[in-house]
Amino acid sequence: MSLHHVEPVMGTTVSIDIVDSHDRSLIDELVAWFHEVDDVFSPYKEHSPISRIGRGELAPSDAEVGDDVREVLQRCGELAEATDGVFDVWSLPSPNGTRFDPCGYVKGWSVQRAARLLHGRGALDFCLNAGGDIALGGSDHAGADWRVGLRHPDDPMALAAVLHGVGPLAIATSGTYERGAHIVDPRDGRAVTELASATVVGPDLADADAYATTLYVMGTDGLYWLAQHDGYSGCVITREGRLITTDAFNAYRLS
Amino acid sequence: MDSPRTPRNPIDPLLQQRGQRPGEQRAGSPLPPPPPPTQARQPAQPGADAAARIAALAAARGTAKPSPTGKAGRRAKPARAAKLASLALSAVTTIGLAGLFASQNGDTDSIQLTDGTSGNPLVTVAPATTAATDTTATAATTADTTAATTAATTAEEPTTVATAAPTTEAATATGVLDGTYVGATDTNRWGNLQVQVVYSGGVLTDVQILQYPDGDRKSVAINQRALPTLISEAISLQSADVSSISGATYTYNSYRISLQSAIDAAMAASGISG
Repeated sequence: MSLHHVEPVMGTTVSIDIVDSHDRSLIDELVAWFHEVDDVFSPYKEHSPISRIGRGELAPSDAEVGDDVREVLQRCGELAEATDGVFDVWSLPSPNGTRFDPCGYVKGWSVQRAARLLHGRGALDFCLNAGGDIALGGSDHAGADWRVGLRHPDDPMALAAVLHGVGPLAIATSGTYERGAHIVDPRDGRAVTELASATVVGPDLADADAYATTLYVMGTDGLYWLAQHDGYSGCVITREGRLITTDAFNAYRLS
Repeated sequence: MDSPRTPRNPIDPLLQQRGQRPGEQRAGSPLPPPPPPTQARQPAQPGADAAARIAALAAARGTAKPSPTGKAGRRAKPARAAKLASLALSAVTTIGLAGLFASQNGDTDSIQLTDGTSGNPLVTVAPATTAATDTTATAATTADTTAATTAATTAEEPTTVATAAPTTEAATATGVLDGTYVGATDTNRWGNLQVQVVYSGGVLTDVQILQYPDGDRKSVAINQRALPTLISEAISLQSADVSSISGATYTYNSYRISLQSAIDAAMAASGISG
């Protein structure tokens, strides 16, 4: 009694693993949800509401803007304020040519929503992974803690650390492993290079995703910032190959 | 992308092959060294004391490992980032100092700086490998102890004069004379930071923060809470049977076919869910 599905969507791969259900409609529902998110929030799609908002053709207050978009914009605004612009979806080079790209929040947010949906359907044990951003519910197939590896920065097939935990738990990693990929500091438009990756663990994947991006831009010192947030902890991996963690993060570490 | 051959444990087989290779300890450099001090100040400005009382302890036992070349020169990047990370340089300084002393141990001892009032650890440094030993341990083991802290923090810009003031002298097995050593003041955009260390019985027994940046609204908010512990180690390849992996590339479109999906596919093809 379990479900498993991998869906290429939102420019990444979403892996759905549900332990305590065999109701395929759950998969259908989640897949439909992720494609809806893609349609609405993708800056790659010229006519998506997000692209139109970015071009100024649509105002967030317009009636045709849905509640989901409004919710995302609201939270992104709060995060921009709370981080003094380190996390600012209005100051990023967007694939659609504008400066508006909320994907740093939307991916985690959409997975968190999916987790909530599963919970509402009575599926309590699951692992959802959208391109490395993970929402865990309950426990794994053996009834034990979920175990999640952190990618080794030098080797996509290797792990740099292993985490474990019982859901609800969110794990988000921000990093650049491949040439050409980059994360930009919204404050000066420069690519950030200090870290190989930044990982945040916490109760909510939407915020964890945004925090991971923020931590990555801040660099190692951002760990002090992160630790101010109750329930959230994290680590960074430097380009030199050091793993630096907040103290609380180590409660999740197996190795 | 390689497909894992053993579906039960998709990560392990690869790690088995790779885990033993010489490069396993990918330890790069040690902790970020302290930023070079730019200015010497008189210790303990009024008001700094409250935030500054730091009782520390732990660590520093055993054999010192002098390292003539020391990489203290690699200066921490200035607080280019994070207005929010207003602890920026101060934090780096603290870590760097702890790393400096940790490096004396030559093994996995850790050093904790603790908040004197709460006992909460401020910074823990636990070098996982000896890779951390190429720092500035030399400075702390030289007979010229007055210069120890200073030398350690000014390797690249030796322009600063520190107010080092050993109060007692007792030669020890490690060559570190007992006493209190005041470090140079480091000035960053948020203010000054200065620490002093206490050696007793040849062991680092206390690190006290004499000055602490408090000029920024947010840093004040942060300073009033105990700093979190940071733990630093060299990463190595880990072996484990995991359900999922965090850390695909963040920019979308760059990791369309992720490792996760390969593992998923292998497992699905093997009739194994999860």
